[in-house]
Amino acid sequence: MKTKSKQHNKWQHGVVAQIPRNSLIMLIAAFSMVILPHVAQISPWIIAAGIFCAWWRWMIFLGRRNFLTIWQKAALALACGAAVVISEGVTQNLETWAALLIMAFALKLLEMKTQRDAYVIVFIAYFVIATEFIFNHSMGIVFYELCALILVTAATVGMNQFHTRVKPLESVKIAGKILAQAVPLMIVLFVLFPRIGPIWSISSPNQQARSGLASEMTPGDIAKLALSDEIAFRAIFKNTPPSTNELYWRGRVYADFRNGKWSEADIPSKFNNIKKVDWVNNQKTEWFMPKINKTEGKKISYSILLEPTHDLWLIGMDLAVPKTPSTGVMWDYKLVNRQPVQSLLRYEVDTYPNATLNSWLPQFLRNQTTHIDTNDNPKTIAFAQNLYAESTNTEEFVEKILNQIRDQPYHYTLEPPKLEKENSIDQFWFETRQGFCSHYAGAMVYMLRAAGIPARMVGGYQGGEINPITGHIVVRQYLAHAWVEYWLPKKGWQRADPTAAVAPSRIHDSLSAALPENDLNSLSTFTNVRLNGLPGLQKMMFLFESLEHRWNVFIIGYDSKLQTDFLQKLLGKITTAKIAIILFLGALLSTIFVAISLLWSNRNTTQHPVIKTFQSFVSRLQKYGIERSPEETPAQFIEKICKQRRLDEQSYQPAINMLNNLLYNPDASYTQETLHTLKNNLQALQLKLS
Amino acid sequence: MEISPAAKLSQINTPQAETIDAIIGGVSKVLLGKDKQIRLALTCLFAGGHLLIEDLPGMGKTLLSHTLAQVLGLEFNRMQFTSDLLPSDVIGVSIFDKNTSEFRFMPGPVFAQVLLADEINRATPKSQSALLEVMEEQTVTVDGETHHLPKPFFVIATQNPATQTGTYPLPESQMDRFLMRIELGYPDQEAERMLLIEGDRRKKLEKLQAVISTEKLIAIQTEVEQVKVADTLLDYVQRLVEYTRKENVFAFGLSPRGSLSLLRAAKAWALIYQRNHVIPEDVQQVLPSVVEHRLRSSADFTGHGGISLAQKLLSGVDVLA
Repeated sequence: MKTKSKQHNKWQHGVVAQIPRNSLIMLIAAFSMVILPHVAQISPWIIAAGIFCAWWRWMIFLGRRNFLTIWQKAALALACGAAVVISEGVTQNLETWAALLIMAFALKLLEMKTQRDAYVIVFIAYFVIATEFIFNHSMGIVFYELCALILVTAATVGMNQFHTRVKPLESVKIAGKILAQAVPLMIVLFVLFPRIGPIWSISSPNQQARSGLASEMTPGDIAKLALSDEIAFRAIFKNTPPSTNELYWRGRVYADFRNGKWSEADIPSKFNNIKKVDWVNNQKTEWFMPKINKTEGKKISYSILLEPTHDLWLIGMDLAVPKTPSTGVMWDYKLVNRQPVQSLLRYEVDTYPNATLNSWLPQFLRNQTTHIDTNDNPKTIAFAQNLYAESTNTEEFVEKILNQIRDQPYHYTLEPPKLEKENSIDQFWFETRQGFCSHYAGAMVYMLRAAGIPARMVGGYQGGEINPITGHIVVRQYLAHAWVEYWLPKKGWQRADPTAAVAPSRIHDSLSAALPENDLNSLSTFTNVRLNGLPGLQKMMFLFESLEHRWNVFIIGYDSKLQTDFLQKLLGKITTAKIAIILFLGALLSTIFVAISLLWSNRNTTQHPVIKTFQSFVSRLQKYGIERSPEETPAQFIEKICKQRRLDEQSYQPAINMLNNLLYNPDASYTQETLHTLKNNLQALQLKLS
Repeated sequence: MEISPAAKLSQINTPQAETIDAIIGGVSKVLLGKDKQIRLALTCLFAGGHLLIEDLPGMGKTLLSHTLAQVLGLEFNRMQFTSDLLPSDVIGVSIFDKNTSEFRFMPGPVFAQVLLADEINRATPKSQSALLEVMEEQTVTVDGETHHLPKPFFVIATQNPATQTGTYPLPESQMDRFLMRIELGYPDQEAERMLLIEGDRRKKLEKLQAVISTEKLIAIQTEVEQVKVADTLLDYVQRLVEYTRKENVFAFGLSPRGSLSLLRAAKAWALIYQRNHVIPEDVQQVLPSVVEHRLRSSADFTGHGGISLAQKLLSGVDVLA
């Protein structure tokens, strides 16, 4: 008995607060849409579990599954929490928390029963949308989340719709309108609201950079170099950019070679008093920086918009001197940032191409860049030493190595045969003779070192495509490159590119020209289109790319510095009071703007002059306490007045007839004269009333 | 709502004015004190639509329909709908003729200019739909042979309120086929007195002469088509229809057929008041009869309680915008 009455109450409660069907569908759709982009940062199984929960909730709606009991829910929540911890690990990373949030969101959806639950889902959905922007704020994702925002809002609208008037499209429209009204205020807040630094520190994501430059490189292990058309960075040059074959973007420096593996080298720990970085705004010039003002020659100024690398290194052309605070130059001339680059980073660089890098070489650096394991690759060492003996100087030796590559059957390919760990360079140089940039660069550095010349491998990007619409240079991951740096006394580090010897077109023409047909076929369609052609599609890609670039520059690039500049221009000296006032004014203005546009869209659009005349007559009568209710026709209105004020109806009959005739008889056309008569008639009536 | 004097004054004498007056006079002689209902019923027939009369038993529904048919001089059949009525009882049946050794079609009662379908909601939906199909198509198809109905063809149906026992409510789709639904209501004191003095009205019915011919009726129907409508009035009609589709008090909006019906009825009403153009008063007068059976309140799950809705609709929409 007891359970029965309980059931009864529950049922009644359910009827009152039931979630309308259309809104339920929209909520489930919005849920799936909102969690989907998180697949980029959390384990896909969590997203899959979320979609499963959505499906389950849908099945509950269809009556094929049941809501879970409280014990099932508790067990499921514990299991899911444990699963998240196991798959994501116990970390401080935001990704872990996002995973937990999504998991909880999915479980909440599963127990969504009443309207109250649905509102909770709506609020969490808004929150999850905001969460996505921590990880990604590209134009595409903003557009996507905007659609999600409309869908979530539409679900809320749907919940307040009458259940017999189910109009999903209508609620989407209303949601769009609601959000559109918020746009002016959003712009004001975006432009004016002070950028507050993060309150908590965000630990670096645990994910490795998916593509780009790794801290280690083992050419022998790579059987197939995947070409990604993801953007690495964009560069905006103040003046005309150098031609693409001069664009050697320095990324990382690999000076250490062991067992077929190239890796970055640090200053030995016993020299820990040596300064490693020359930071911007550092008063002192560090030991490795040349005297810039004395270097003759040109200066190239540009800014870089670097896509997230989740690492410290930055991109620049030698010799790159950054100008943005919190960046600096390292002792091996690569650029660094103080924090890992987690989101799009914009920084300014001056490049002095003629500057000398390390006009003198410290002993530790000489040791580091001449070190080879003499047991490894004996044939190459012997070959290099022979070649060096035949040469008169280092330059000639370098030229001889390059000639060797040019004259002998060496091939440039993205799918080289695998190499052994030991004697890998011997194997490459004398047997396989097939490889990509790092094979050649590695072999060349090894030979230079064998001859006692300081040399190292530099990893970065070579080239770039100019977007014809905005004129900036785009560098994609497939332009990643490795080349050789060797040191000459007084002249410092010199660049040599063996890839230019084996495949000159890679540097002077394009990547696709350098690749054998076999390799080209294995590229992705997008990459192929980018590299080769289909002019129409290419143009569209350029257009989209330029849009994305502008988005990066104007929206994402609008940081606290730009904001401060803008506010200073606007206000002079910035004070808290001034910011408060300008925020208030901005909010007020945007609200007024919305109000005006609403009034404008609801304005009376009747153009009929007779209706206008009559309406103004009606509004003039308001001061005599006479109101017209909407359903009253002009005739009924005048008759009502006559009855109320005991006026002779018959004498106003001509006015009534005239009104009716002008308004509703298609045969009667009004002229200025008739309008005038009508006005006089109405005025006469008004006079009677006063 | 009273008929505005303004409506009377902007009269223009239309060709059929006298005929119309005569018809109204004829019907009024039999049905006392129901001037507005008679005009509405005539409006419906002049607009070429089918009429549904709904009221309690004994209110004069059948009398009104009889009188109308007689005054208009139309050939008519009367059918009493019951729960055991079959479709073939309505539309007719093919029977085997011994003399000719062939099947012969025996036309049912629908083959008349006016069909009085009495207590239509007492029949089962099966038989109802047989009739309603005829109403829409104006043809009868039996054994693959199509038979055309005479012209003009009207169905005047009467029904008891759906709350009465032994009724099968007409579905919305079938209600929609009736141009208008009117209710008679109790007679006023004066009319009731007359009724008590003079006794059964049916005796009067027998003496009633046809006032017009079929050709004249068709002429009036053509004239209804020619009643003019100004843009300002079309705006008003559109606002009304839009309101039913937008506001939440209505479970669903008026269909395009509904809006067409409203305008057609308003035109006929204007003609009855001898005007060659429609004024908003015309729309307001016919609106309850045209829309009430097509609308349903969102709060009403049971049936066709659209009475207050028509008032809501009228007071919610500005005549002038």
